[in-house]
Amino acid sequence: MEQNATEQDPAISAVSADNQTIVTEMAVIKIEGQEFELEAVLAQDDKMLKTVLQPHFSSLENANITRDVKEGKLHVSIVKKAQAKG
Amino acid sequence: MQVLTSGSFINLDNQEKIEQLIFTAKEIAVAASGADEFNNEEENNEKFADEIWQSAEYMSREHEEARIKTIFVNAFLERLRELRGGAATTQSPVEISENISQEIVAESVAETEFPKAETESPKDEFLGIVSTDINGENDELHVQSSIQTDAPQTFAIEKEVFRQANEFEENQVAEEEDLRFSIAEQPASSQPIHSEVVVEAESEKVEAETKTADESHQEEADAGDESIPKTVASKSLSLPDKEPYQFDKCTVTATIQLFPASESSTSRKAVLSVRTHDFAPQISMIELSGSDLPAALMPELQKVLSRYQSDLPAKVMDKMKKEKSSSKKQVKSATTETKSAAPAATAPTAKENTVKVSPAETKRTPHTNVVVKSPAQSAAGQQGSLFG
Repeated sequence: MEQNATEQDPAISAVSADNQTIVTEMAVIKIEGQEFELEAVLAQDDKMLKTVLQPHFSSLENANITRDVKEGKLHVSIVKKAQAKG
Repeated sequence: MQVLTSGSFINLDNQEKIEQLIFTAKEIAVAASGADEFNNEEENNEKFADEIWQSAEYMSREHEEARIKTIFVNAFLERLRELRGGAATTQSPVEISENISQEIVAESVAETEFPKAETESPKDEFLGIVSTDINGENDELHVQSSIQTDAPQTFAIEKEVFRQANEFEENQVAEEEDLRFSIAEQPASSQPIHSEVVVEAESEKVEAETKTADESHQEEADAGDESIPKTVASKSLSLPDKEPYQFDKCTVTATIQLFPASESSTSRKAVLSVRTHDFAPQISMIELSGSDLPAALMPELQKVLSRYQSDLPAKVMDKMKKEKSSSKKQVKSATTETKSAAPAATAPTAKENTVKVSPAETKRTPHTNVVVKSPAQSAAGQQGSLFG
């Protein structure tokens, strides 16, 4: 469920892929069994999200990032990929 | 006084034996001079003395043999000279040099004992110092004694040289001490010289130097002790395996990310994130205005940290609730699995129930497994308690 940010204020009026508008300022991040809130403007872009979360989650580099808007709130789930041994 | 028999053992330590040896030599000389064919001349007498000495076969220590022989020959010749008329005969320089060479050889043989005997008993006639009554008559022994007395003189000279060398080193050390006190920090290069003087010093001045050296060493050691606590303090910063869930007693990671400033605005956006243990990070975005970033960051950082500190107990409580619920689910799933497995083995009629239950359980188990056995949760189980 990828989404694209509009040129308006992305934290408030971002539009998801299925045209659901993000009305809340905060997004929900799911990673490694944890959930926490993050400003939506930081969670809309993969690069930005990785940059922000990289200091705390080193496995983020090759992770799968999926986004979904539920009731106007952005939900981002991050699942790390299994890396090659060695 | 008895005459020594042939083959007697003679040593320089036994003065009685030496006196007997001299007595024997004189007696032999008297006996020889009484013979009709005896020609009392110096050259013949010396050869005759050597022959008598060889025939006597006296036993002695190897390094004392030359000196004992000299004593014997001298006593023999002295007695013959007395018998010849008491006229003092003077030796030619060649003879004197020969005697000197003999004495040097003897000294080289008995080099270990000679200096001690010379210094301990300088008036011992058996060790080369001739008594006053024959001093003017026997030039040979006189030369011998002069040679022997050269040794203490050389020792005295060596002592003087050594003393002067010590004084020179002491002066050098004193100059170095002055330099040391004049300069605040002592150079490390002067240390070895100082230690050498400490080792070689014997006088009181050098003892004083050693005291000052000890003081300086103590000062250096104190300086080292002062440096040690610093290193200990730096080494004492070790993290415990289990940190308590308290903000002041656990490792808190705070990161600052400064995003590039836009060309239009002077302000700059930044992200402050705080995290401890395996809790979710608390991330907040701020906008910094002005050119002094540290000054603008500090109040924001304090706000973020204080907010995280206040939120930490709630996070801990949530975590404990999750752990409890997950453990309950795990226990429930384990009991249902055992119940379903036991009737399947005993009562085949209960298959329908197990079939109904097992899909639900199999659907649940992945979820519960993820919750319970995730790395984050397992790591959380290893963390310290809430109250440390």
